[in-house]
Amino acid sequence: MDGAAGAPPVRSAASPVRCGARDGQPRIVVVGVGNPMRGDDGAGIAVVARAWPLLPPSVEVHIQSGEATALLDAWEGADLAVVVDAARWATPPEFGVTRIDAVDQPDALSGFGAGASSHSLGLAEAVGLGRVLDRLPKRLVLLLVAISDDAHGAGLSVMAEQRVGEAVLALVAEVHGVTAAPAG
Amino acid sequence: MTHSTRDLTVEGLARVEGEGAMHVVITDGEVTDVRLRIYEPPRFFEAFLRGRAYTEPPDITARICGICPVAYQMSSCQAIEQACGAVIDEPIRALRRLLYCGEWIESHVLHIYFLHAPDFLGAASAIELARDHRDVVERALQMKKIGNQIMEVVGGRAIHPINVRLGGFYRAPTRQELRPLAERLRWARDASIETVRLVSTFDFPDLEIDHELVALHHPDEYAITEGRVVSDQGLDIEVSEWPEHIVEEHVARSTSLHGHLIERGRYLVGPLARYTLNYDQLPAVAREAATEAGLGKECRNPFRSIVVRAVETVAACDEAIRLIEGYSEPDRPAVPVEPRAGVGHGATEAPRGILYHRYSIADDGTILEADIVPPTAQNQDAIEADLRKLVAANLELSDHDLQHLCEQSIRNYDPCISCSTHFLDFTVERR
Repeated sequence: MDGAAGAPPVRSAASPVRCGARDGQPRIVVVGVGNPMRGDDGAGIAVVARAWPLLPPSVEVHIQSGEATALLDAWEGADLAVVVDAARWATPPEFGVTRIDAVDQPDALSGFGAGASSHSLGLAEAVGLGRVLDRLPKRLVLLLVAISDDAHGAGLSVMAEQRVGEAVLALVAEVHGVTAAPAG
Repeated sequence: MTHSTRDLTVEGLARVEGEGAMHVVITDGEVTDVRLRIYEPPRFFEAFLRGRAYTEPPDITARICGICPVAYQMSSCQAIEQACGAVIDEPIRALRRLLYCGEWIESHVLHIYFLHAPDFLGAASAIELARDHRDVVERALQMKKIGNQIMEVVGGRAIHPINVRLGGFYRAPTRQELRPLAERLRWARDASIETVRLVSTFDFPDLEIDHELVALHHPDEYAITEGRVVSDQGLDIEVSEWPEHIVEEHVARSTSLHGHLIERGRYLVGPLARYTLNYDQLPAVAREAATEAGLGKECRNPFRSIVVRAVETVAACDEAIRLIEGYSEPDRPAVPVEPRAGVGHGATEAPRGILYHRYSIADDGTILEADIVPPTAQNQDAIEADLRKLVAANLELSDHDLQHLCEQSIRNYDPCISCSTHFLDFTVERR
């Protein structure tokens, strides 16, 4: 998908929306990916926007289009990165939100992505490049919100709205699982 | 007579943007039909623009494309400013050219390294390329990032810039904001020269095109943001004369219009045309890189377009450095553009070739009519002609190899069929 605009502040990897990590704390990066002008493709951004008040202030928050080089820059060196994106599946998954640990489950992304196009490399390519170039964070979790509608125009479908709620809970749990862990 | 028919279909041609299909018919060893069929639904941007305010096209049309939004912004600004009689200050003009250099760097690097180079290096994808040529891909990512940074500093963000407006910009960057880019661009210029050296060693299939080459031409600079429309066969017109010389036609097999020169037929826009028509305007460092790479003053083998794109990347980096070093903050970030009834034409060189806009505006600034001609619509006939020639010259190849050669040939032109999810089915029918 190309371009992200709309609801929450839109920034590139070079300038996160919020960046408040302190020395000694794990660096946690959250990236909402999508295009809110393409219907349910805005689900990833909606999740991050709604989870934002529930995340610790030290968490670095990015809103991106999904362009690979920006993703690589955003998550490089992080202890944990959580990327939330919308996904269309050939076969609908059992759950509305699919969690993939992209570091521990390298094969889980095979078949994802349309490959490079003349517009960009996407999330799947970013994970693949990050693995080959040693530019993945220590932990990389993908939360994929299943969608079926990416028509033109703003706004989420009823189904996507429900799944965004599930994904918010999953995102917050993922982040608090790290921030609540004892140091060391 | 017995005919044998072989069908070959590939779903999801990688590294091309757009939804389309290609069908090749070979009957008794002769290529009898080649069709690039684009079936993606039309998006009606020209219809959206009717009734909107004259200030809106730079933002609305930027959404047509995720990789060349600056081209849409610049062509639309130019057309509307012409209709309204606005004259742009030189510092604003320079800033626009700098922004455009960022887009060229970003787009060319993406195509050279991640879309086109895998064809020559035997990699199926950018990831496979990174596995075998790590240093090359690391360099490409850094180069692309510098293009993005120009877009961010001048345009406000890397995709779909938000700082462009009629008459100029909402805010002009300071010298301090631009200065760090110059140092990175010096590295990128060197990296671009290395890129020219790398891609010039590739093994290029033989193909010599005879399409009429059309590009913008400016006597004092490598034309990007303005110029006359010229060709290698004598065309030399003002942009405002475009409708008298170039027409778009609908063909049943495609939802994209096909551009033709009136009474002259197919033509080609893009890197090969620009390079061949504007070699003398390239900066010296780019000409030297081209010479070292074995390019003459013109290039008519589309497979070598990867070398030309690399040379143009050298030029864009060099030009961006020059613009930053000579930059002084404009007295005003934009000149006023007051509405008046009229028609305006704009044309700039998008990474893939000329992007033409025309607007008819009412005296209150309401847009009455809009016409947008993107480069890929202009190049479709040339792409089909290349395929026909290529298939005819390589009939002895297996379907698999022939298909790969045809896919590679399509990628020579970096076609941008649309900005959504894209697949291209390839069919060869041998009778």
